[in-house]
Amino acid sequence: MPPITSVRLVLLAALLSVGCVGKINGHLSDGGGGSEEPCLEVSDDAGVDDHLSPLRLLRRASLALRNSAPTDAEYDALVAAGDETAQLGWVDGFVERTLNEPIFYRTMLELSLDWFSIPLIPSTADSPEYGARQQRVLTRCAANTMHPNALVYYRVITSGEMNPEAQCNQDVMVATIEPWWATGTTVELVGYAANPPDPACKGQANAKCGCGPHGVSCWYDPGQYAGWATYVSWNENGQRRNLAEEPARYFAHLAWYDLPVSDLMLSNRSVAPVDTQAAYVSQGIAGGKLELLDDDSWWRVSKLTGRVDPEHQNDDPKAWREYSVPARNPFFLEERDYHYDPRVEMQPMKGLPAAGVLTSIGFLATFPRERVRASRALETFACEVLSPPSSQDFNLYVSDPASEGPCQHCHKRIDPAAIHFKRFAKSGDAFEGYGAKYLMPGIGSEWHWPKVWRTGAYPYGYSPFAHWNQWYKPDSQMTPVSAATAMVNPEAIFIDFLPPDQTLLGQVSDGTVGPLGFGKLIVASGAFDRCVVRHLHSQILGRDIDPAAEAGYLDVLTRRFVEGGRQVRPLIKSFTRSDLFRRGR
Amino acid sequence: MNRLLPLLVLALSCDAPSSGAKPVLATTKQPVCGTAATEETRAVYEGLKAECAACHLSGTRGFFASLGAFQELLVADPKLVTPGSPDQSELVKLLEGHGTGPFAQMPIAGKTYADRVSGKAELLSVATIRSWVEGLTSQSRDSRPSASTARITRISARQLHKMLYQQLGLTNDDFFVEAFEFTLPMAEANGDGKYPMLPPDALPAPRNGYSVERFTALGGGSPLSQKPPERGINPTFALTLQQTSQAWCRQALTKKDNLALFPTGGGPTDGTPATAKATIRRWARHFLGETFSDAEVEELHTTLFVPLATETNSTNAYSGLCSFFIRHPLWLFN
Repeated sequence: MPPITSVRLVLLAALLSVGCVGKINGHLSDGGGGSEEPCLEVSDDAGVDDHLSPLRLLRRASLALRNSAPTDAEYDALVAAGDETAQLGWVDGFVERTLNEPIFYRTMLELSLDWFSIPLIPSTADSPEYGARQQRVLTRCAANTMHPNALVYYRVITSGEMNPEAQCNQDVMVATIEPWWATGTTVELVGYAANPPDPACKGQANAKCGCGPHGVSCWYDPGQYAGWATYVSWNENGQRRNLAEEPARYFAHLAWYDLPVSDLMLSNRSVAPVDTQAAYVSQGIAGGKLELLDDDSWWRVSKLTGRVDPEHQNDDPKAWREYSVPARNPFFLEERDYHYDPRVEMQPMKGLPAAGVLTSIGFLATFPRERVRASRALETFACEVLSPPSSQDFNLYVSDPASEGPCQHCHKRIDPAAIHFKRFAKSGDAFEGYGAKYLMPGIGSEWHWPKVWRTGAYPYGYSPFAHWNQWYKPDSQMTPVSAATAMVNPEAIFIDFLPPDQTLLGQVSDGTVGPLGFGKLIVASGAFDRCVVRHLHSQILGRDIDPAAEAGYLDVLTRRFVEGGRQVRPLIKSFTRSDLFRRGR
Repeated sequence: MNRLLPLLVLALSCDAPSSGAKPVLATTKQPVCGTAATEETRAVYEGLKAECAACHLSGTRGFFASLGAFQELLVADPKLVTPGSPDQSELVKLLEGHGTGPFAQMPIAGKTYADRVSGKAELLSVATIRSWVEGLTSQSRDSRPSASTARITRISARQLHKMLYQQLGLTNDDFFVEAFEFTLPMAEANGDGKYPMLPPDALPAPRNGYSVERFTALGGGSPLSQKPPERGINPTFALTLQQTSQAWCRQALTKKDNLALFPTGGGPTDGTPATAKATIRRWARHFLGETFSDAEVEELHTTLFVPLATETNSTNAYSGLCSFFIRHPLWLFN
């Protein structure tokens, strides 16, 4: 034990740097779960009283929960409530009410849109190049044609096909269907679009096969230039915009329905309007799950049952509706602990366990490669900071950025994350949403290729094969397979679970494959919970928690959050009742 | 001296549990506020700083941001330091080159720390670090928010935009007309003279770049454009807010049937002192959530309203008053 004078001096110095001066007996008990926590109040600043007046407190609460100010009527009601104690109670009531109003959902959405910052799936060719739809676009025959107002393929894809105008004006195949995009109505398909399905077409709409049952292999754009409705950013209901929004919508949904926020990483569910769920269905069909063509549970209004956002009615196809991701695309699995080691298992992989936003098409397709996904996921959901190294000596870089050269400074963390994101890649271009493919290598029956792809020989010299050959290097940390094994079984390089000899954020994997394996690791590490707490703290208190200066504060809040079932409302409520929230001027 | 005395008294109430003694001035209600760094810890911090600080200055691994951060993030983290047991401490393992996490050593490449300092008496030896760990007792973190961090923050551009619309009684219709691109609705600015402003990701989306630029100048972000929001205050922000507040206040004051600023009607034509002072009082609450004293009302009336008003026109004065409130720190900060 050091002498008391030294203790005092050291304490004083420490207090000046970390602010340990102050009034205590703070509490953060309401709604946070658990018992009263000491040491949560800020200091008195040597006598400066910066407690907010009830009016200012109401303003702060309104900004925090609604991103806007109180109304004059609310200010009047607050003043009319009585003395300061009554007014403070009125503010608590305001918080309670607001947390249950749709504006709170909107605030959570705005928070998570900025937080996740997921852009539109990028173009890789001329606009409107956009691949995630994977449905062929239809346009309407002119009123003065032989098939007025009937729907026809918008574009000729294969040489020799009749153009749309010709199909509209000739005695061609006609089919009347109830389309998936408009329950209870009928439309007339003409030309190739009306051709009966053929298993050989594998659910793809082409000159031989039409749009399939209920037109599920197609979509209809009523706009002037067919295809743009799904592509442009300013279409509120456009699939491309909605896929970018889906992760943030899911966070707002979890907050609104008091579901654990860890579902964001660990759940097999998500939320999306019907038109956005179509992208998942299309991906399932592309992988060979042709039974999805006959499934009307995702679009028929009478069968829509999932909980919806508070801004839409329950029967609205445009509602952000909770749905089972595996039900739409069975290659995203229900199983929560699916293991698959391609080094020793020869049967195809069943799929990737669905993992909330981590297996959302917006996330996977927007960030086109595994390391980009991993970096963004670490930054976004674990609040990791990936910054370049300072000058220091590194070993020579040869081929593995996770263990060689200056890149290891970040790749030591990125690559154990990236290993989980290897089985999703884009191939080809799209026209009006039709033509590109999203490959899930080694999964199911469709996404396999002759071994020659490993040589890069034609036709495998392009992406993603070139990328896989270049970057999935055997004997690296991201691809821990031997060259011999990869030679015998090229698909072994898609290994996508963290081997026991590696760790991520200090955690050892349970062997779960794919993005869910990553999600489990960052949740288990505590990094995800801390990150959620920091972002909610930023929204409600206007500032982040500095993990370097306020580690203990972050610990306590995170513990409360976890003990409270990782629900957003109780945490926010506790924030609004904290000493820190009520101070500052 | 009087200012320091309470500081010292309070400091003693946060005594370190590692000493094993009860806090000198602690009462039964006073909790322990985390283990304070000792002189020995300071010495280790200073000794390691030269080798480690370059990579560990901020964030969750910002161990060397300050002595406090070193204590809180590293010394009080049982995953890194096991008090009393250097062999169990990951910190020691990393310095000696046999770490068990992603990195086997720190620094992550080249010679281990142990090798670097071996035989150099002026550098902190691993033996000293081991001895320091051996001497540590149970550690805990201070669970309070930092007292030195600002407790108010500038409102975001998103909040600012919403509040302007809300408090001035303005809507998109006051700045934009409906336009269509690919048959999908967009917001076409009705000229730049009205200072239109919209977030780039808004719906209907702004069709004109200047509407977005104004929002961006106020710190607005756009996930779709990969621009993060920011809350700094810089000359661009100040200029944009000044121009916007003046233009929008005037528009709100002259907007027909707008009750946002004059809820009982009347409008800005009545510049009599009684009405003007009542308006100042009402707007203080409306914009700021403040209750102005009679003296504050009087001062604002005298120094701001009266100089801007003329016998025939009080709209300018109300406009100046309105934009004064919007640029008031209590409006800009939460």
